[in-house]
Parts: sequence; C-alpha cells; structure tokens
Amino acid sequence: MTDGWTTGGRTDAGRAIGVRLRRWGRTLAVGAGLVGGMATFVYTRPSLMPLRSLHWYPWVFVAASGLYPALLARRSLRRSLAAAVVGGLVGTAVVLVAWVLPAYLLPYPPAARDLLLAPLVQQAVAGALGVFFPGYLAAYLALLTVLGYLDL
Amino acid sequence: MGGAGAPGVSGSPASSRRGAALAAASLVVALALIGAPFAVTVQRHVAVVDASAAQAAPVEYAVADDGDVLAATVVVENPTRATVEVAVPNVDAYLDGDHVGSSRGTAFEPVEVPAGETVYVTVRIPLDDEAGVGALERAIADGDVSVRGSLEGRIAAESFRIQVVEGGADDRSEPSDEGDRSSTRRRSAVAVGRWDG
Repeated sequence: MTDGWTTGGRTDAGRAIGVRLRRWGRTLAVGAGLVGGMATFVYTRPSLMPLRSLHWYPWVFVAASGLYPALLARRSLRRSLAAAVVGGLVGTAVVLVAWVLPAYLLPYPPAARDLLLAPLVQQAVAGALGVFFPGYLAAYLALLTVLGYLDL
Repeated sequence: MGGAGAPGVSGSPASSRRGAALAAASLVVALALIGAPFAVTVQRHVAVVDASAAQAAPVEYAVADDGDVLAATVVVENPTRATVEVAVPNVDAYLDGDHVGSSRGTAFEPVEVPAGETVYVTVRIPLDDEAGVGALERAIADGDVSVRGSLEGRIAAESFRIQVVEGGADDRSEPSDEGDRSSTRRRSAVAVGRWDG
C-alpha cells in the first residue's frame, strides 16, 4: 500500500488501487463537471429555466458538483486535486458549449456567426467565473477541510 | 488526506465500495435531475437566438370603429423550435409617409405562435385624427397606408423584438427552404446586432 499523497503503485496491490482510483476519479471528475456546468447554464438563464419560481435550485447542483472530487481525498489528495481540476475544466466546457450552441446549430453565414459569438462567449465566461467557479470551489474546499479535520 | 498512509484509514474495502456506490448513484440522480431542466433551457436558448430571425409583415388593412381605428392584419412567422408568444404590439401607422397613429397603449390579447408556424394577428391602431371611413378606405385601396414598428415576442420569460416590415415575412405561398441562400442572408441581416444577450 502506498501513502495518500502519491499516485500509488509501488506494489501490485497499490498499482491495482491506483488504476481503480484513476478510473473512479475520472468518472467523478467528468460527472461533477457535467452537473456543475449544466446547473451553471440553467442558473445563468433564469428567464428560460423551467420552475422559474424556484430560481435558486440550479445553485444547489453547482455546489453539489464540488463535493464529488473531494470524496477522492480519503484515498489520495493528489487524485482529488486532479479530479477537481478536470471537473472544473469539464464544467467550463459545458457552460461554453451550451452558450455558443445556437451560433453553430442555426444556419448563420461565417461573418454573422463571428459577430454573434462574441456576446455569447462573454456570457459563458461570466457564468463560469461568477457562478460555477465560486460555488464549485467553495463546496470542494469545504468538504476537503471537513474530511481532513475529521481525518476521514 | 493527511495520515492516509496506514491501510486501515481508508476504511474496509466493503464500506469504501458501499460509499463509492452511493456516490455514483447520487451522481447519476444529480445528472438526471439537472439534465432535464438543462435540456429545456438549452432548447429555449437556441430558440431565443433564433428568434432574431422571426419576422412579421402587415398583409391587410381595414377600417374599424367608424374610422377611429385602423385594424392591421400582421402575419407573424415563428422559425424557432419553441412557442413564441406575441405579447405587445409597438407599431405605427403612416398615411403617405405621415405618422397618423400608434398601437402603443392599446389593449392587446397575447397570441401564441407554435414552433415553425405562421399566425395572423390583428393589431388595432387608434388614429390621431379621424380620417373618415371613405378617405381611409380609399387610401388603403391606393396602397398609401403602411404600418411599421415591432411586436414584442416572448419565449418563456425572455422577450425580444419582432420587426414588422412590409414584405418582411416570407411569401406564404412558398415555404422557404431552411438552407437556401436568401433565407440565410435574411437571417444574418436581422441577427447581426439585434441579439444583445
């Protein structure tokens, strides 16, 4: 067995755990990114979301998405951090793709598409920086701190 | 975490497997719960951007209320995949190029235009000065009356403007091909600078 701070894999058993952890970490990271990214998009489009009277509900999912990478920390902090970064990238990509989708789905000529893309990308970046990162990071660091303090 | 060196700290394999299964299950549930509103919101988002290509054109004028009101029939085309609600008409009437009336402030029953469909909407425009039924009908017959402005369209709670332009909507007798050049050009001309997020 290896310590929690390294990738693991000096022994056969350690290697097996490392492989499983890597696969599990990838699943958690991508899943967390998808949840966080989708929730961020819904949150930043309040006039179009279903259940408008409960306009805060996507925020719950943004925060929840940050908890998943922290779950890996009990086996490997390194893996947990890597998963958090990957989840953040996946989430940002989801937000970006969702915002610019109309520019590519609708039959625009290239010049018009370029003009349309600017405000869409701007909204996507604002959503990622203003909604996704704060919620995701806060939830991740909070759970990491709690788990670390309780030595779980 | 710190101190995870001892094998026992990670918990027994069984409990860790149970924890992982729980985490995976909650992840699947979260994906499904937020995925549904996400899909709806994305579809509406595409429709709202597409709505900048929505067009309306006056097709018929009539005199109402003894010449006090010009009733303009406007054809509204909804090229999007979402239902568009035509909520508020903001159109002006012109006689020989002179402004003679405005629809602003008049009562209007919102009209829903289903995705991809075309609907005829009647907009009542009170005239500033009573023109007289006969004179107005003559002017309509001579083609001296025109209506310009916009309609306020809505998808969910997002509103946008639909320009009312003479000959703006496509000729109703020939459904235009989505990919043909004229429709692409029209879309670009209307879209550029109209959508401001």
